[in-house]
Amino acid sequence: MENNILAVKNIKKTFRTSGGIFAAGRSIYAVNNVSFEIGEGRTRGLVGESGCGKTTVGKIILGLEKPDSGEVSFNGKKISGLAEKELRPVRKDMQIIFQDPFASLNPRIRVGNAIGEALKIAGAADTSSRVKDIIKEVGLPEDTYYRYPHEFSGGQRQRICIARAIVSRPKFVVCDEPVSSLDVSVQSQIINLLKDLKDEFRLTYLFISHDLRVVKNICDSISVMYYGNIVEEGESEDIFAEPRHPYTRLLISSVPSIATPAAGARNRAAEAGKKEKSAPGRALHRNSEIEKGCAFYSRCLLRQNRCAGNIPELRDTGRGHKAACFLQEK
Amino acid sequence: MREKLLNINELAVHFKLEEGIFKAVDGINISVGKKETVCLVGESGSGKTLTALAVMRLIPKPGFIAGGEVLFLGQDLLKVQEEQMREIRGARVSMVFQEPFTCLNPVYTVGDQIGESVDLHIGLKGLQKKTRVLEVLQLVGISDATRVYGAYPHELSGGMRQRVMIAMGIVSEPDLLIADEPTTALDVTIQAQILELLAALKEKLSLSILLVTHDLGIVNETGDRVYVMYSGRIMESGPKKDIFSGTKHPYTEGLLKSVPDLGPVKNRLYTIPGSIPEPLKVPGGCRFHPRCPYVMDICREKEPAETKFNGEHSAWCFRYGK
Amino acid sequence: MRKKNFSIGSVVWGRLKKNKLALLGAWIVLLLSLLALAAPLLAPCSPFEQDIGNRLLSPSSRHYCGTDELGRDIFSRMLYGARVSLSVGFIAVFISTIIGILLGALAGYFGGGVDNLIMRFVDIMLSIPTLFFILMLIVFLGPSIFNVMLIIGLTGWTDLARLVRAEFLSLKNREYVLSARVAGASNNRIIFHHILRNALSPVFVSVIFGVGGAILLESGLSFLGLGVQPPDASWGNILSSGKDYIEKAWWLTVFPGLAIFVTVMSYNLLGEGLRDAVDPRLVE
Repeated sequence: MENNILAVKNIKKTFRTSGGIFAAGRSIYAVNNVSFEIGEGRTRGLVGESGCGKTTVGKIILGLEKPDSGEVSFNGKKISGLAEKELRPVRKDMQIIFQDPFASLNPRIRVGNAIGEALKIAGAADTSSRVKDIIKEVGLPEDTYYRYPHEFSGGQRQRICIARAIVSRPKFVVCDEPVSSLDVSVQSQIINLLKDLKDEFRLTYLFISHDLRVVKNICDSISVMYYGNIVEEGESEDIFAEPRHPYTRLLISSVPSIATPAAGARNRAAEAGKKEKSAPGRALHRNSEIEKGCAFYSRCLLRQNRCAGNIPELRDTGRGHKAACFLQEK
Repeated sequence: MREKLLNINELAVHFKLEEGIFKAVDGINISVGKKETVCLVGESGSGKTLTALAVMRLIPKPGFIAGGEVLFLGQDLLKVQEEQMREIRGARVSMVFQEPFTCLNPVYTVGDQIGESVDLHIGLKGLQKKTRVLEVLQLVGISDATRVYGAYPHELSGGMRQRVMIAMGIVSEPDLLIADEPTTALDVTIQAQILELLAALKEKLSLSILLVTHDLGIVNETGDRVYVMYSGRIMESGPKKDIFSGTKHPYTEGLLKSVPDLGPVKNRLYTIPGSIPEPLKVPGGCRFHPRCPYVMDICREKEPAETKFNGEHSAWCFRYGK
Repeated sequence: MRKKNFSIGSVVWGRLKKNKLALLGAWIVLLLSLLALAAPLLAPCSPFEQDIGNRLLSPSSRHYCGTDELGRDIFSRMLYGARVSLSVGFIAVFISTIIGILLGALAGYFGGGVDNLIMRFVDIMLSIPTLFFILMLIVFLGPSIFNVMLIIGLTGWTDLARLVRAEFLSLKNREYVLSARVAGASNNRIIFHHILRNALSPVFVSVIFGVGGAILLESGLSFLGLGVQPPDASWGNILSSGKDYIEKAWWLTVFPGLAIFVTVMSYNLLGEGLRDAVDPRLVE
C-alpha cells in the first residue's frame, strides 16, 4: 500500500448566512464530518451537486478556509490551524486549479509573471527559464510569457492556470471543476493534459467535480458528497459498477450519456425526482433534518423509518467500498 | 416528410465590430416539424444561441439579421411588423433561457409573472386567470401549485425556477418552444427531471421544441433530429440515430469520440486538435479544415456543399462529393 | 473572446479620444499646468510690484487683465496664482489619496475589527461638516499655503477610502487572489501587487475629481482669508480683494472667477470622461 500524502479527518465547517434583505441569518453545514485519505500519486474524485460542500473541502485543505473542527494532514504533518506564515513553506507543495479560467487570472498581470508568482515568492533564481519551460510543457505558444490573459481563449487560459499550479513542482494539486466551463472539444484536451502532467511530475490530485462523466475518466477513487456528508466512497470502477448508496445511483442514472439508451435511465431519475419536486428551497430547510437523520432521507426512494431518526455511518462493504446507508448493513 | 412548423432558410446574423463584420451565423437552414424535438448542438461561438434568438427577433446589438428568412407556419417572421411580432412572441413561439433566476423579476410573485402572460396572450382576468396559472403550474409538475403561486423567485430552488420559466413559456399553449441550454445551470439530478418534463409536455401539448445545447448526452436522450453547428455553419444534420451511429462529418465524429462518457474508460481521450476559430479569423474554405484529420486540398479552397444521404441525413463535407 | 495585443491603458485612451468634452477638459488641464509652470517666463510684470499711479486700470494691451487696487498686474498675479492653486490641488489630493488607499485597503482586505475601526472613524469624519472642521483646524494651525494643503489633504480622504474598501471587498475573494495566496504571497504583496492594480482605475478617476474639488476648496478658503495669505497670489484671494471694487473694476473678480470656473470644470469633464472610459461594464 502506498503512503497517504493527504489525510482529512472529521472536518466540519458551518457558514452563517448573513441574511440579507429577505432571509434571516442562520448557520448551515457546508461540511459535516468529512474524512478521507489520498494515496501518493493517486487521483481522488470528490463528487456532488452544487452546494454539497465539495469546494469548501478543497479550500479547507489548502488553508483558504478554516475548519470549525477536524484536521488536515499533509505528508504526515498536521497543517490545519497553522498561521499563514507557517503555512507558506507547505504551500509550494500544494496548489489549486479553479473552475473559471477567466476569473482566476489577474487581468492586469502578464501571463509569465502570473505563472512565475510562486517561484518568485520562493526566491528561485531561474524563474523565467522555468516559466518558459512550463509554458511549453502545457502546450502554449512560446510568446505566451509576455502577453495578457485577455488575449487567450478559455482552454488556453486553463492551460495557463495549470502551468501556474505546477511550475513550483508541487506534490499535490486540488483541481476544482477544472474543465466544467470549457467547451466540449477543449475539455478532453485538458483532461489529457492533466493526466500527462500527473505521470510526468508524479502529482496527486483531488479532483472536485459535479460531472460524473469527467470523474469516471480521470479518477482512481471517488468520494460522493451529499449536503456536507460523504455518502459513498471507493474505487472508481467499483462505484460505477455497483453503486451502493441510493444517491449515487440517482446521480449515475441522471447523467445524460451518449452511450446508454435514453429511456431506462431517464425514467429512474424522474421517479426519484418526483419525491423532491415540490420541496421548497431545499438548501435552506435542511439543517435541522440533517442533524437527526440521513441527509438524503427526503429524496430517497428506499427510505425506511429508521432513516429519519438515525444517521447512517460510512461502512466498509468490502474492498474499501464504503457507503453510509442502512440498507447496506447486513 | 413531415409538415414543417418552422423553416429557417439561409439565415445570417452578423455583428458589426470595429475591426470588421463578424458573421456569427453564416447562412444556415433549419427546420422543425410539428411535435418534434430538434436539437441544435454546438460549442461556444458556434452561433447556436443567436440562431434561436433570431427566430424571436431578439438579436442583441451590435448584431443584426443580415439575411435569410424565418418561416413560421409559412409566414416570414423577419418581415412582420414589430407589433405583430410581439403577439407571436410568447403566444405562438416562446423561449426558455439558461439562467432561470435572472429571467424572473425578483419583486413579483410567480403567480403575478405567469398571470401577466395569461392576461397578455389569452386575455383571461381575475379568477379565470388564476385558475389557468395554477393549471399550468401543475402541468409542469409542481404539486403544491398554490404555494408556488404566491412565492417569490428567491424562495424557489433552481429546478423549481426552471419549471416556473417553462410554465411561463407554455401557458399560452405555443406551437414552438425554444429552449436555450435550459438545464446547463442546474444540477444533474434536476436536469434529468427537467428534460423528462420537456419530453412529457411535448406529448401532452403537441409542442415542437428547438433545444439549443452543447451537451451531446442531452441530445442523445431528448432529440428527434439534430443539427450540428460549428462557427456559424451547419456541419451535419439528420435524425438522431443517423448522427450518433452513422456519423458522417469529421467534426461530429471528433465530438462524439472526445466527450468523456460513462462508457468504458479510455486511458487517453480522443481530442480534436486546436480550438474554435476566433470571430474575425474564421478560416477560408471549410471552416473546420485546420482541425480536421481528413483534410484535403479542396477543403482549404472551397466551402463544401450539402451531401444528402438516405432520409433527412446531410453533411457538408468534401469527403462525400462536391 | 481573444483580442489583439493591447494594454488596458490604450483601451481607455481610445475611448477617451472619442469623448470630445473630456478631451477638451484634458487639453485645458494640460494648458493650465504648462501656463503655471512657465509663469516666470510668461508674466509681463512681477506679481508683487506695486504701482500706485496705475491702480485699477481696465484691461489693455499692457495689462491684459487690468491692475488691482495696488496697481499690480492681474494677469501676472493670476499666472502665479495658478501655480499656487494647482499645486495646492495636487499636493492635497496626493496626501488624501495615500491615506484613502491605505485605510481603504486595510479595511477592505482585513475586514472584521480593523474594518470596523476604520469605517467608524470615517463615519465620524463624515458627520462633522467639512468646512467647519477645516476652519477649526486653520484657526488652530494658522493660515498658510502649506497648512491649506495639509488640511485639505487630511480631510478629503474619506470618500476615497470607502471607494477603495468597496473595491477590495469585491476583489479579495477573486480566484486569482486565492491563487496568489496558495502561491504563498504575503498580505503586502496581495494588497499592492494583486488587488490594488485592479482597483486603480476608479481611484484614478476619483483623484482627478479630487483635484478639481481641492482647487475649489482652496479658492474658497483664500477668499475667506483663511488660505493663501497676501501678498502671495491665489485665485481665491485675488477674487477676495477684488470684491470691494466690483462696481468700478469688474476685471478684478471676473478673471480669477473665470479661471477657477474653467479649471474646475475641465477637471470635472476629464474626470467624467475617464469614468466612462474605465467603466468595466463597457469592457468585453
